Amino acid sequence: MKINKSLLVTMKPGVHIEAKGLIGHSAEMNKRIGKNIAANEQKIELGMRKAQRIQM
Amino acid sequence: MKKDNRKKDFLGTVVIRPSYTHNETGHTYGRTLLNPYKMVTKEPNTNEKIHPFRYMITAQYRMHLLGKTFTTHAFVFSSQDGVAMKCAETAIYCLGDFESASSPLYARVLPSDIQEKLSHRISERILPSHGLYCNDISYILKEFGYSPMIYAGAEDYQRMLEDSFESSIDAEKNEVISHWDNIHETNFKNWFHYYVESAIPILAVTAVRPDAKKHATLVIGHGLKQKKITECKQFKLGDYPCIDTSQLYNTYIINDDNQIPYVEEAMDHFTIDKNYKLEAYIVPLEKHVFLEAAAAVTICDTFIENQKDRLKKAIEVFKNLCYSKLSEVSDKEKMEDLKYLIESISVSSENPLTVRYYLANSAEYKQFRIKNGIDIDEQIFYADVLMPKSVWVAEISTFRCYQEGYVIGEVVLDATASSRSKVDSVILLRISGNGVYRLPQETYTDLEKKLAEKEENIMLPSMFIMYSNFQYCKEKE
Repeated sequence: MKINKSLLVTMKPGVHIEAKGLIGHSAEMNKRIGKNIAANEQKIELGMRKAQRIQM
Repeated sequence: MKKDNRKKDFLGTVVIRPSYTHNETGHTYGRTLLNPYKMVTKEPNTNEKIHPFRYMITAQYRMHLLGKTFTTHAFVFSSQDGVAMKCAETAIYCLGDFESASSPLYARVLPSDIQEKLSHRISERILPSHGLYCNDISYILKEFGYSPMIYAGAEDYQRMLEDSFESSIDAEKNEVISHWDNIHETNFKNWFHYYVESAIPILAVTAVRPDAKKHATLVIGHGLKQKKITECKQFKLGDYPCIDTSQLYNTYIINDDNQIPYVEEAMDHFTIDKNYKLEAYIVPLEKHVFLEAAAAVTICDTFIENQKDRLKKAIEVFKNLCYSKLSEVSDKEKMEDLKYLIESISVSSENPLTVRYYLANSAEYKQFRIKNGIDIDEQIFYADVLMPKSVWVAEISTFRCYQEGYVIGEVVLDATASSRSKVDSVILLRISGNGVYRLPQETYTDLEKKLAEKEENIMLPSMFIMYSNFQYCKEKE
């Protein structure tokens, strides 16, 4: 069985979703993102150092 | 071949090179262009046709034979010459050939072009080739107009980190970075999959041991075979279990110059010798794509984690709508369809949320969304969003919806933004029937304001069609 595409045309709740999140959190989010990016950049940098010695 | 079917049945072309000795054929494939979509297998039980290379990158090539024009889709293959070109040069040559056929941004790269660029960089003689260092490959790709990135496995990362950054890391070791990120930790193999999903050919470097001889192959797609859900590592997004599609696939399509074209191999084993493992890879990104995979996924993850309550409510609203429609209809077929839809959107450990990350050309992505919009509201919504040249997209679906090519939410990031832009790189957020976007002159605060003041679009369909970077999937839609 497959999802009937024509059925999806009628599937429009048309309501605003009230929920916590997004508003007023950007500073905290940026802090988290900054730390994660720094950790990933360290991983990439270490990999780069290793890759410089690789010859095919 | 019937005369009328010549164009339809045309597979491609193979240039045969002379062999070095009378009984050797290992180096004889010259420039080879074969259409992978013409290669079909059959499901043993149902006899259904299967296209094993549907998730493979191809470009369109035009050939002229006896005054007639033939076209084929292919990814160029060439076996290793061994003298003038080793694996690395062959991979660069094939990559350049493909990119020049698929984009007007790049010129075709000939072996002589590679050697000319190398002669400015390498102090030794160029011929016969001794192979190239990772940095040399990256340098050449940069010279040909790409913006390459090198990734390598750093298994000893933790130990080195402790040696070199001990003091700075210790202070932060126990601090929770993000609820989502702590459990959805990605590494260079996950990033590898995101680039494959973005239809970017990857130059993979494999070796038996870090200090042993290396081999370069081109990874040009992923296989069809999926792992079982129970084999995938599940994360938690709020109350919902969640998987990342990079966990789902373990086979990739490669062009290895020591094998035949289009070989499906398991992750790591991109050579004939199955003891080889992935050591590093080079991604030829387009210029101006500043946001690389690791940073883009981090931003998407943090944003999705922040939206978990809205996502949960949106799924509940969608389900309630299905139930109310179910109570209204009497047609048995429609009832079955609705029941199936409810099952498909019900999240459980067997049907977890499934997140797919990819980089896309925004013009193609927007065109797809407008062309395949379920209704006019959806088409207008996407037509109104202004996007930079490249975007990172995180598509959220349930596993069942993913299998059928439907999505219930997405986050779109500006791929030309710096990683320092963080949440300011978010362009669009869509969760089920609700969508909001930011215009170039607006900031993230404006996006927050739109949500706070209920200025988002609420008339979008609850579910929409999945985008694909792969040519076969694009043509199917």
